[in-house]
Amino acid sequence: MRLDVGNFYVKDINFGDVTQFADGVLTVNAEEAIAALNPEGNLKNVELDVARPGENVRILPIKAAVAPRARADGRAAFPGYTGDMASCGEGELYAIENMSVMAVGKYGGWMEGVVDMSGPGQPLSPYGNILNLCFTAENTDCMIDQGQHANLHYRLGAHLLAEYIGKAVLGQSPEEWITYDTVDISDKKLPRVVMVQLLSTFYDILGFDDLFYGNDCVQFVPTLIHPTEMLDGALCSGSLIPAGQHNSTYDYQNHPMVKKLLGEHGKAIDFAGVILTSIGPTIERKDRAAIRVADIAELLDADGAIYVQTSDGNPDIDFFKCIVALEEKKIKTVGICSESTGRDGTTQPSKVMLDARADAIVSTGNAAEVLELPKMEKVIGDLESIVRDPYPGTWEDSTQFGPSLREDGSVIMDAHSYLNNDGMSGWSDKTCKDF
Amino acid sequence: MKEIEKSGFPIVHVANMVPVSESVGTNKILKAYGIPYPWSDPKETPVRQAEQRYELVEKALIVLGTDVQEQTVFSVF
Amino acid sequence: MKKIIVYLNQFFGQIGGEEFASTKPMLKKEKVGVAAAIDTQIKNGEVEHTLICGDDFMNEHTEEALAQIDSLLEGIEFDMLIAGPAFFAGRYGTNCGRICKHIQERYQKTAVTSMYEENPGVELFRKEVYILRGEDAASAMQKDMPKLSRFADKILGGEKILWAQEEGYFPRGKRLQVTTGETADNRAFDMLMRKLAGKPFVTEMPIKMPDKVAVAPPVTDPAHTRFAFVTTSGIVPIGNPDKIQTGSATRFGRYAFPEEGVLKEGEWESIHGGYDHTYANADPMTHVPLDVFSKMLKEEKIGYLHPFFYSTTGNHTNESNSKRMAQEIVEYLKEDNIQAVILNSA
Repeated sequence: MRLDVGNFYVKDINFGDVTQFADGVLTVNAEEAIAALNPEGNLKNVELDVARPGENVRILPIKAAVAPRARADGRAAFPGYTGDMASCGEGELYAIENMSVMAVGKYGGWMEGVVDMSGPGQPLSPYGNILNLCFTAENTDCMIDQGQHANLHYRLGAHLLAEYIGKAVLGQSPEEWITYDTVDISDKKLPRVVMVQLLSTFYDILGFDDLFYGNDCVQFVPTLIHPTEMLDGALCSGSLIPAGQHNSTYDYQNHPMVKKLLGEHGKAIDFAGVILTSIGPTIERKDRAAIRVADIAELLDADGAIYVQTSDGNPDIDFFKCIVALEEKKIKTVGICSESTGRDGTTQPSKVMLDARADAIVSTGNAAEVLELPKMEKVIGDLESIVRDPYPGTWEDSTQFGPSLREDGSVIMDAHSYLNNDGMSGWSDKTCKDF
Repeated sequence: MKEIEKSGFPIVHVANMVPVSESVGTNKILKAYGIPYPWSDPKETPVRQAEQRYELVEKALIVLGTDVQEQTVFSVF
Repeated sequence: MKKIIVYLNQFFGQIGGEEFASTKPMLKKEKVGVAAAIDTQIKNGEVEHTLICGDDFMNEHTEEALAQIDSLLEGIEFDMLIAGPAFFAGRYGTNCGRICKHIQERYQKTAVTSMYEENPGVELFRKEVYILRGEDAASAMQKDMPKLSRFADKILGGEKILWAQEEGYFPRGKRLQVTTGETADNRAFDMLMRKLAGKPFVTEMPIKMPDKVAVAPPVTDPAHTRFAFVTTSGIVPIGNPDKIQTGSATRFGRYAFPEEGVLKEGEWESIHGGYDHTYANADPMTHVPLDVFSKMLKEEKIGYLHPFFYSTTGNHTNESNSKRMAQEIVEYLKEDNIQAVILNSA
């Protein structure tokens, strides 16, 4: 399947009368954009703002991050979700690079995240180095803000906005075209490699898991896809995993590991496909997923596999079970995951279970790393949420660290609530070492 | 769990995530129904769920009364 | 110029052999034996004193030995203590560990040593003291000593100390995040290519399986046994009055079982961040089966139920907090003569 991606690199974002992209500058008609992201009025007090790399800006609580994309053939950017169901992974896709669209709300919680555009937080995730077009809003029905956040309207809003923005480049010539293809190279006899991606799927009720072609991944069964489907809007993010370990739609659309493997196809490997798998809420379902993944990989004659994890905690069991299942079929596997070595580095072991048969692991850092972030002059969103709301990475007070939000506006928190700190899809340049 | 058992208390770990407990090194593990619902299966009627809870607690007592030499996993299903 | 004290036993301190192992501590304002060599190998400091003590004396009269050493050190200015290298000498290695720990605690100065992996001093002190990996015999002096000197020099020079494998010390029990020059996608790809080609590769997360606890005696007569219940499902009274954390818990709640013998919907909730709360909120007894305990008490199947249940959350809870909370709970259980515990996780 061949996907041609036409990249436009945005240098700045402004607001104006007409939404357009010219000479690297994206101008946005705020009224139109807001109407596009909130067609049924499920959100209120919707405002737009821009956060630029290097600015003294903090964004939180972030509920969704999406890259703007558009299809020349008129297909929805996220088929099944923002438009009619259609196939992904083939044809021409227009991409505005160097920016994301973010949904920022009022209430934080288990999955919401923080991003700083400057200071020590900036290099922790890709968002610190791109332009982020943010909309802040509240749910019209404030009852939805109680309990666990499905964030349905925020998430849909972010994807609708990304689609609306993406259309601004249609009809123009991209700065570059990149071709992603997995042609038949069986004659080259290169090692066959699959990538396994653990999706954010865990609940038995609708609304929280990732979306696959717009379909809630509840009770998901491992599924084989073309790598280009992931880059082309087939997967949209749910509202399930702590921010630090969370794959936003932006991560799926720009997936570093997928791109790396596509780039090596025909050179060092024969990239056979991507197997999506799920976090089982019971041991039986974890076993079922592990067996299915290994069976699919075997069906593809895989010689090797790279397992990309998301989250930690009981998904560590899926991580090890799946790797062992692949290894038992003689498929050499490398696992990518973050570790939880604790706020002081002494938590042992750093995964909730261990299996020595997983002998090749890339660690993307400490999920519980304590972050000291300075005060930011501007906050897009709700700074008070840091001590008011139940983020896994913040606390109201602590004998060791004091409150997460100090009077002077500086913050001490742990990486669980810093958006995509763990970078398991391949971004992360961090690892853990024994000291 | 290990800390409680170290102090001399016989203990049984009722959990769905058996591999976690095994990895930690807990001695007596009894399988539970599910992570969000350890003691009973919500797909059943309330009456049947109460029965399931009773059966599982009963089994927990039996597990506590069982002499084991090494880590053992028990189950009612 | 930073000042260093080198600690040696009676043999390396040139007092004598085994017959002098009971030698009491002495502080010489000179570089004895190995201390002189160490001095030449260090740029950022110089050895001014050699502290010598017999291995038996330090081992059998540790407190007295350290007290005598403290008197000897009164008024002495120093920035660091280097002990050993001790190779496979068990008493010497343990004593090196002891003196280093003491110096750090009492004088707030860094102290470093070196010994062989199987020297008992390693397990006893590696968490508190930098112990360099050494060989198993004194014939390796020309290998171990320069390594020890170089490491000490780094610390004296204020250089950043890197991870255990890089610097050559035994891991001290901390696993910390480090920024590498390479992103995970490239690292994973390179590792897979090596693994596929059958070439050696280095995993970034080496795995060691944890150790076991002795099984407590079985409960033979539940009808006459006193039970308690603990949960890590995070079930708390509505509103979470004790603000138990959704993850990384540092505290637990102690909640009285209601007199009615059941937990009612609407009075309890789950605050555990790692699973969906629908079932728990609708029926808290799917995590805390109080109805069963009440029934069993009536049926005289269990002898007694501790009137409180202990509740915390089990996700991201670290080992030291878990141990501490368990110890605190154990105190309550001992107070009430509890004999057996049922614990559930989500």
